[in-house]
Amino acid sequence: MNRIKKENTGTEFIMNIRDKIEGLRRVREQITSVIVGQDEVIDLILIALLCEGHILLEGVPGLGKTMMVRALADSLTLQYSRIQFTPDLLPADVIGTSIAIQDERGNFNLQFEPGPIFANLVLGDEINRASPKTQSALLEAMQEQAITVRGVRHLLPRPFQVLATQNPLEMEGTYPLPEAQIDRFFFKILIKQPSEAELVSIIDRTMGAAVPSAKAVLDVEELRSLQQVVREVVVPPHVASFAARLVLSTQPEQENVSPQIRQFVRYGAGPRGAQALILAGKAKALTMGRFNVSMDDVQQLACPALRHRIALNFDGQSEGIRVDDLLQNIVNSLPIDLNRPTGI
Amino acid sequence: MSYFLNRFLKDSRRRLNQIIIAIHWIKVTGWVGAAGAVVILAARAFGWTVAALGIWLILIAIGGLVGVVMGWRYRLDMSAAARWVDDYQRNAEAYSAALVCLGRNCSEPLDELVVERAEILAGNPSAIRWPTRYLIRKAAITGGLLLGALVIVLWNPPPAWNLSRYIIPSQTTDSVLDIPRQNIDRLEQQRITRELALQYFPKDVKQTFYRFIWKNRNLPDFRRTAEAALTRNGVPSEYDDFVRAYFLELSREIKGNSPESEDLK
Repeated sequence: MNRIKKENTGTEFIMNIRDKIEGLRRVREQITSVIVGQDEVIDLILIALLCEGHILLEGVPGLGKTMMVRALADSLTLQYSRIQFTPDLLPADVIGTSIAIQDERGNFNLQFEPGPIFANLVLGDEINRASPKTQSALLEAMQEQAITVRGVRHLLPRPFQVLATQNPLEMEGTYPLPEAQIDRFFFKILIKQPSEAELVSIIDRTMGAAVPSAKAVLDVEELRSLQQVVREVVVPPHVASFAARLVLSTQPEQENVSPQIRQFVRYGAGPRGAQALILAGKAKALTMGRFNVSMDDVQQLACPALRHRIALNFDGQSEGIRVDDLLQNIVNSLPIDLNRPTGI
Repeated sequence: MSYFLNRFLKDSRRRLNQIIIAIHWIKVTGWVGAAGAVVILAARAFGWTVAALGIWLILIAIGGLVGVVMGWRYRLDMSAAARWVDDYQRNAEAYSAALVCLGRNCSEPLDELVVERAEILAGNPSAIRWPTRYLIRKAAITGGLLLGALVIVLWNPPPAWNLSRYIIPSQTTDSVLDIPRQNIDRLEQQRITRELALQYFPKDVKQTFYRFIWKNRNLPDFRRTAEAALTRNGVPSEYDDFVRAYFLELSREIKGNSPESEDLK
């Protein structure tokens, strides 16, 4: 991604940025008009979109995941596709394949037919049902932003974001994603069940004559511009230090980690986790109209950015320890400023 | 740096550093004062009260100076002061980020926007309650300790186990022995009285004699008379008659009766 040149930043640039941030707020309004009660999830998806990060969504069926992604695509005029993963799904079903096409002279040529992954927003439903080979095809595309078929490299469209879902209910006959692959996801977002009031609102909105839909309020170029600006957001050194200490505090082999981490964690978050924390913090600051990351930003994003990068050992799993609780304890106990003198 | 931002951060830094230096000054002064008071108490055992007090005060002054130097070493720089204010005001690290941008001359695209936001906040800052609670608590404890030490040094009387005084003074001895001595005189008088009564008077007079003696407590006169009588070889009849007459007279005064009356039997 090209950096913004300083000489190109002036009053007009600032006005444009503020307009685009306002546009982002309109996108949020459009999505919340369609989806009820998942405001935090919507905010996190927008942050991940600004960071070009892929998301792992976890929740029981019927919570509006598909509708949410479709509303996001509609509000941003993005291409959207959905892949339903099944055990018999082949890699070619995801990335595309070469098919023989007969031309006017009757000769057969192989022509690449892109798969559903060639879209801006790809919803991969129940990724844990696909075979490891199919999973790796998707994950490789996520990492490379391109796919290679018969030696020919095909770039994926930009922006490109995958929202993969895992069904926590049906674990039989599934292929859980390896931890190393899960680490490639930017966020892991848990989708909770709606409350009674939210459920009533869902019934009102969706069971009537008119089904709500999102309108386009921001185009792709504006989104790309915002993705560029995100990386320019200022990070104070002590915030970066806090993020690094937070990530190190999840690693049981480090000194001065909490006894709980040492007892229940097999391995903790790594450098990707720290990168995700800071980049997500930048995006969050931008969505709130700020141009620097704050301590609160990092603290609030700790769970979605790190929960899937921490693996519990057998003790932790058998005791029913929740990774979110461990992370919250670390966030609450980690000192913000190591060099503050006593008494102030 | 803009005027408001510069002035606000400098003022904040100055106030915080004053508090830090004061905390260290009080802490070290308290420790030195408490340790010095122990030395004072030991020095008083050898009668060096005034000199020890002077040394104590000098030690406290030196300790205070050391505390100030220590506090100076721990003082905050501008970025640490900015972090403190950001945390207190919960302004999303506005001042810390602004200092980062100013440190690189606002060379990045968004730096001016960051500094602008900090300037707006510094131009109309919310009131800050400077962290003096810890300082006040330390000062109260230290002041109490030093005051207590001073009271002990100045007002406590010399202890009884003062090593320079080995012997109880004679005045104390006399006063201590007076009471037993009085009791001895009294017991001696009783003994003489009893012996005389047994020796010189018939049994029928004894009871009256005893009652009279204890009631009037006229022992000194009787003692002198009896001693005078006893010092002669044996008991001359004239003294015997005198003593007898004396007691008869005394008994008559009590009862108004002659020795031959019913009461004397």
